Amino acid sequence: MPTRDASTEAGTPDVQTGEKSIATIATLRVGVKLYVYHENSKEHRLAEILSIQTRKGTPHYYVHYEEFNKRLDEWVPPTRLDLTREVEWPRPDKPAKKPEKVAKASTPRETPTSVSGRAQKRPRRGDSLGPGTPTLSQKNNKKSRTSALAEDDVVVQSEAVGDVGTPEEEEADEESADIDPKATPTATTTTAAASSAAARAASASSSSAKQNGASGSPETFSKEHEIEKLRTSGSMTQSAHEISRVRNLSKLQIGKYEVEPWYFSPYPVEYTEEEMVYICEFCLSYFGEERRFQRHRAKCTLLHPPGNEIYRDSAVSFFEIDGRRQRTWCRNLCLLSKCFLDHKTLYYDVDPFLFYIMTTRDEYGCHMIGYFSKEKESAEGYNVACILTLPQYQRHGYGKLLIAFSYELSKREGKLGSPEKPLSDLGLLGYRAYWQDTIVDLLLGNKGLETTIDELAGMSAMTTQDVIHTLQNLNMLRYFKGQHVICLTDAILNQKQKQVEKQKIKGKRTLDPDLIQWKPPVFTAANRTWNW
Amino acid sequence: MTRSGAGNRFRTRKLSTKQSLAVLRENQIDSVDDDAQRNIPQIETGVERGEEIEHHLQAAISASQAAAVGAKVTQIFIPTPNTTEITVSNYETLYPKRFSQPASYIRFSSTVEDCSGTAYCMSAEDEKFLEKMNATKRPGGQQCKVEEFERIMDLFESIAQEKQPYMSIDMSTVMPYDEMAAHFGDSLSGEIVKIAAVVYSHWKEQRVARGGSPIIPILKFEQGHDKDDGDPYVCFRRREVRQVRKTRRTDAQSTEKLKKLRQEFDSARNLVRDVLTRECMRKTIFQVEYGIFESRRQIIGVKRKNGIRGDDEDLINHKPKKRPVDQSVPPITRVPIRHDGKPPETELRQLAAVKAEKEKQRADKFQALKSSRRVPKHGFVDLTEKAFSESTVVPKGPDANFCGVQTYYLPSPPPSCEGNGSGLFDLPEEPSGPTPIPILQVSSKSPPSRDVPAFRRRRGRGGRIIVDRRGHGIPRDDDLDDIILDRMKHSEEDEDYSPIFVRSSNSDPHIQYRARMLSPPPDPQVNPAQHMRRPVMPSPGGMQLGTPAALLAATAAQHAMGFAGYKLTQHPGQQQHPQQQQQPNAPQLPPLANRPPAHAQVRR
Ligand SMILES: [Zn+2]
Repeated sequence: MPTRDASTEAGTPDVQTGEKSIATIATLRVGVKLYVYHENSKEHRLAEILSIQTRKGTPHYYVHYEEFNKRLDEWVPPTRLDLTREVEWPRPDKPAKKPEKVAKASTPRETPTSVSGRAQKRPRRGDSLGPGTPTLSQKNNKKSRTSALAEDDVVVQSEAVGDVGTPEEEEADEESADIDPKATPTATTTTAAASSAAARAASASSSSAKQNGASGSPETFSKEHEIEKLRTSGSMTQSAHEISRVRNLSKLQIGKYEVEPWYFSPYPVEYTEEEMVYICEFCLSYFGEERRFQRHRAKCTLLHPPGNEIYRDSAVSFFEIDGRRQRTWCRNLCLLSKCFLDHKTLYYDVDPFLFYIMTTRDEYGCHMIGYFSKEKESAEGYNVACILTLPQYQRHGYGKLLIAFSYELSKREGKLGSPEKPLSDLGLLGYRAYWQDTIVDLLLGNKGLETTIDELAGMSAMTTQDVIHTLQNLNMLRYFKGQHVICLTDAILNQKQKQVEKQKIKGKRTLDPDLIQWKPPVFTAANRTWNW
Repeated sequence: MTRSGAGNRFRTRKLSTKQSLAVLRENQIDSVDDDAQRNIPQIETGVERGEEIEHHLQAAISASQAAAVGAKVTQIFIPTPNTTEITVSNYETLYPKRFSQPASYIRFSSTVEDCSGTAYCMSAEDEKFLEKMNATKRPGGQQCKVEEFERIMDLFESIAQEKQPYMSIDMSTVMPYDEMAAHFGDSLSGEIVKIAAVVYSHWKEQRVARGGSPIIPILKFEQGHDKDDGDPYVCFRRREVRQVRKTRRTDAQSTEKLKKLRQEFDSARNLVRDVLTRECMRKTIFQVEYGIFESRRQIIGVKRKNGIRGDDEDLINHKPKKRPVDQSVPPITRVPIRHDGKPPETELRQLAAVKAEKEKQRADKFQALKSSRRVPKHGFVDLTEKAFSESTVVPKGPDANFCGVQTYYLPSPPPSCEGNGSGLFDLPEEPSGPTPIPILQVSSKSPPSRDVPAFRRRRGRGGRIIVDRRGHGIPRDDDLDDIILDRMKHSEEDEDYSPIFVRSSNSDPHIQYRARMLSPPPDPQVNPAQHMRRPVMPSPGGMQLGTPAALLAATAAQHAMGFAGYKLTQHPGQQQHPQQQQQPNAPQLPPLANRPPAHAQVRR
């Protein structure tokens, strides 16, 4: 995700900018940043084009709004673009990476005729641009290219070729890929992601001294580094580098709900063409065709997550599921949750994880509300790998319940735990809320007049880091008379007071630890390495 | 949450987690020292930096921070796609109400595959085809049910997946139906196979339309190695065990530990194996000793009977010999066991072999003796032979005790009786099994009185030969302790038992008994002759069973002729009886010395 880092970290586009100038629909390409009208905030916001697709002769742009989470990325028609303002052209980035792709991409195959054009507007010369176009998309483009080029496309290309050479290539790639309906969606999305990266890379390289340190360095090593890290443990990647940045499924039907996915998920690529992907609520199998789904439902006998129930109260149940034993189910779960978790990676299989599923119950079965996964053995001491409340159940207080449960398990294990990083924005907020609750409750419940960080950690199964982090955030760690003290501020107490009153009215979701029927499963090193 | 800069993220921890912290209310603190906050390390949020600055997150964070310092803020939610909660209209039909919660927590281990029936699910297109097929099919023919159709399709798919995994690369050769059918196995029943042939064309059409890929799209798994690293659709790779390289040293240590563990397990196993070997050998020893014991008993019997004297050392000395051997064994075995697994076994085996060999030699010798006496007996009757064969053949089997007892128990008859004795119990030739053949009376002149010992021999089922007796008082002392008897029975110290043996030999029964034993046979000449010419007949049941008994009976008859005092019994207590007699009878043994020659004479 270095590319995004580059842009976001830059904060304001002005800082490390590419060159700016007025663009036309014709000259727009992936990587361009421009102002796009965002409906919810009712204003134009700076956004980056991640993909372009032509539908019924009109190009549509997949844009990512700066400083908005990716889940708000969306397809917009040209009418939402503000072309009255200058756009920022993608900066060439360091060409260092992916040499093999350079070679490929640099073999130009385009419309020499158009070269002349109005190259001027292109701020960057793209000479070195070639890198970046992924081979996959190239292939696709080749076959569809001729047909794909629309009238003005040709112009675009000529232009591009004229001044930059390769950028136009990418552009062409996308367009062609997009236009050709037969071209696999994979190609499209890949193109989008990769080409923007490529563009960035190219721009960085050529824009001489103007390097963005932030994006530059991670980009060179991140991929191998991340994958290597994942080989041994973990479920998150900090570099979404390879994962397409473009959401690939339109809609999901899960049980009673139809849900829009937030992020890319590697369901079979064929499903990206479907209007709706049908997901069996209980086995989480996925279907692109409604009839098939109905047939599946006629046969499927699962009524709850396929594992052991380890907690049950009047509202919810928790099930524990071993990724190794329930591979299909857990894979299905991961595919689904990837739709809502940006940083989750499905690079590796589910075997080393346990999954804890929270469900509600009714006469139809046990409906999954959310889950968290947990490494059987975490080298980093994480007690949660991924955690998700399904969108249709969000903002009902379930997230806190999930988090609480993860800490209850840690208490049973006699360990301090912390969620795997990076956290998502929602994850951070959820955890902070839980931590605040927990710490404040502990402090209020603590009749003694003093405590230690260790003690708080021990009682909550939170790591000392998280305890400090929480105290700090709440402005509760103070220095008084030459000593650190914990200050229960009036604000905090008021907040607590309000919360209590609110809960009196609305009721509070809580866990009763006594209802947990669970012993820490034994997954010793021997268990994992001795299975010969 | 914007950090003021990387510089502030120092790790030096001035705040110890073990440090006791006073918990105070705000009004207990002056706000003066607040800048000392700087000494507390800033902890990262855990959110990726690029996202940390996101607008909505920042808004939410600052809102909560504002709340934390008392500002009035409304809670801010991070906007998410306005996606959810369009209620699916046909939910009820898709998801029937059939869940009832069990009282106890659910325990469940079936997999998705277990729970979803045939993997293939019919599409709308399939359905059209199916309807068409069912409509056009022979009127009386069988309709294809959806389930069957799915099973057929599923079978095609799995066969194709297995046999033609690269169909999507090379579409030229989609597996023809015949070939496909060859792989059906017994997964389809007869009727359905016919339908399958029709469905095949549809399947092929679908498959081709999919470019050779499975009809129902599947996940993309890793194919080769590094190539697909960049393909976001490839997922769920196997997690390689690459730690080897990273932690070579610890791995080497682990390897060493494992090796050591393995070695220790090996030696433990060797130890157990050696113990087993030792115990087996012990068992062999016991068996051998038992064999020796038995053999010796027989030899003693033979010797007694035949009046062989001398060479008693053999019988006696074995025990002294054995003990040294036993004692010598342990040192030999123990030492090698400790050092290396193999030698002890071989050594032990050798020892066992030595013993066995020794025993075998003895047995061979015995056998030789036996057969040398036996050979001539074919085809004719040897009056003396039976006495020998009794002792030679009898020892085998459970009857051994029985026989042995008799031989011990009987004093040798006076020479004059010798010839007449055998054959008395021979059966008349007729093989008629079950019929009892009362033959023998000690005195043929008069019906035997109750007081006079009398024998009867008959052949029972399976060739058993039964000797009935009558008129034999058991001169057993009632005061004879069973325990002592038992001890006698198992004692190897043949020579030592008599002193222990307490009996009153002056009781009336004994005197009577002895008198009877010593008296000459009532009428040796009578009767027996007619039986004596008969060859010894193997009983129908076979030699093993019949012969010993027959011989035994013959012997018994002989004894009976000689002494009219004979006892046939298996009772343990009574078994000892002959032993009792041995001592008193010992003085009578000398005459026996002549017997073997006598036999030889007769036989040759
Ligand atoms: Zn299902």
